[in-house]
Amino acid sequence: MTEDDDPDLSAFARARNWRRLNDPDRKPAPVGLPFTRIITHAERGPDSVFDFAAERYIRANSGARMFYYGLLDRIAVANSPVARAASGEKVTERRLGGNVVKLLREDSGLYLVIEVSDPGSSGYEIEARDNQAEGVRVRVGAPIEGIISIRIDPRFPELEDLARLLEDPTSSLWLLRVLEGA
Amino acid sequence: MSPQVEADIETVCDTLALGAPQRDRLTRAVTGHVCGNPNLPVFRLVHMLAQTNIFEHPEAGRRNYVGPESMQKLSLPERALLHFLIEMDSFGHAFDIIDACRDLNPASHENAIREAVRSVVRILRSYRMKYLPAEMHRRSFMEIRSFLSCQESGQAVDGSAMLFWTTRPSTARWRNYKTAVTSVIDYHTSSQERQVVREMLSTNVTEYCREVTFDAAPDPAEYLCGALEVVQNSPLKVFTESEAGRLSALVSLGVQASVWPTTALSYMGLPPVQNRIIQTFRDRGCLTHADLEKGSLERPAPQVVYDGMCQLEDLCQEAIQIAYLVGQRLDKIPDTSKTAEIRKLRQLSRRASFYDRDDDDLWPLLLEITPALTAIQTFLKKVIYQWGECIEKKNDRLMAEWALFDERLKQIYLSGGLND
Repeated sequence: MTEDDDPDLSAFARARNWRRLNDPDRKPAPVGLPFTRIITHAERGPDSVFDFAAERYIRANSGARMFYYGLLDRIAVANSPVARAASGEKVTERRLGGNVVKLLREDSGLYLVIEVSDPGSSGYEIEARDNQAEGVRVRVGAPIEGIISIRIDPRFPELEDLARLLEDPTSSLWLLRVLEGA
Repeated sequence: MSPQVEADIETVCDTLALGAPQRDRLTRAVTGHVCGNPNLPVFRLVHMLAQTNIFEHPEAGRRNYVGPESMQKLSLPERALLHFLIEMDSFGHAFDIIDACRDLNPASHENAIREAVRSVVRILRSYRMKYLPAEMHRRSFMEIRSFLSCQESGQAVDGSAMLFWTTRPSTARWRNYKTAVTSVIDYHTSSQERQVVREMLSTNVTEYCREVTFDAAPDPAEYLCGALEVVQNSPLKVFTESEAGRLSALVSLGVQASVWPTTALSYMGLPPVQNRIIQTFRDRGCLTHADLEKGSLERPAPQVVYDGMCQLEDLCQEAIQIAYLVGQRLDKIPDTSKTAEIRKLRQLSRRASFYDRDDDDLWPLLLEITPALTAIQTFLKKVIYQWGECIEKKNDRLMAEWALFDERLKQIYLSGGLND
């Protein structure tokens, strides 16, 4: 039975709903952000201005967070919502589709090695988020012969955060391609 | 009542800094309370999305879903509705909406646009069914109505109503049925309030007053006090003693106290259309005896009248049909005294404990109110029809009908009850 079966009754229900929802003595509005801000935040390039309000909203609002994650899922080359295997003492490995992200713990320091399936791309970013939606997005550059290798330099806190999140098996990862000219 | 819907609407209003008219418009779109086609806002939005390419993704690799500059291409109401659709239910349907609309462009075939409209409407309807109580109960209403209106099914025949209730999951049925009946009674009460105010402001109320032992006074405030008294003494009175006293006090403040129309009318819960009509009175220096005598009710904007008419008509039709079906199917009480029935109905509708009644008490209650509901159906329909028509088009024929209707009202007053 569809709505059209009973137009009178539907109209009655709609009128009553409208009247009740349009009550002038309504409560103060909750704080929100336009969804376009979240989209812009998800699509931001390496040189874009960071939207702190959008970031706070994503961390505070679970619905906005899921929307943001959904956007990342769609614009990312590959993603990994959770680790599929336990990490070793020296190597932490995460698979994102055909791409592999490794965190190597050597005596000389920490190294991030990414084996990308599309070596012809001009550059990549990687975003990681933990359970509390705290995370970081780092530009990792273009691959050389399909490999991106970076030393986790303690002077750069973003890289340290990324290393910490990579070691967290519950964190989510997205591999994003940087557009030409971005 | 629908905290989720309220929060969703408020979020959009807050983020887009919408004013009251835009908020009203958005609420109408969300609840489907739109004149004519309830899906018209969605239809308009989807067409605008197709024209503006908002969901186009021009660059490969990273898709541009929608950007702030693209949104500026939409007009404010459509933008508000799009924001609502994406953000409603904590972004629960965002990607469904985007997927439904993303492939639209100016070259899209009409069938593609229609399909997109259908998808968005389906999503919005599921949202309404989830969060709006009246929408939740619509299926129950329809089941009850189909039960009441089925003539030859073999299951529900006259006299087997009790069997119907006892052979089905009774608690849910009773609750649904009670909801339906409560709606009717709610409507009945509010329609009576509207009716009273309409009479108070009617150009012909002075004649009623003269007929019914009330001499029209030159002072508008006194006049309205008297009119209120007449209404209270008539069979149509709907206010309790304390309510009537409060109204009298408000009215007696006089027209110079500009507070009274707003306060009194909001107290009576008038819909916006009538508030606006009354505002017209006030703007004109208002509610003087001469104006009322002259009968120069300024015509409100056609859209206002139309909106109000649709709303009233919708409400009325619902009450009429349910009342009719209830009256038709159930045992009828002998037509002894309809005035007493109406009074009983009025008392029942105002009793707070009615809503807390046990299910077992509902059946006798239904039997009690059925004749009254049957009695008011024709009357209500006439009131709404004539009222709207006379305001909308002031032609001679309708005015003549209006006069007949006035005559009818007079008869009702004099006879002390509603007669079919």
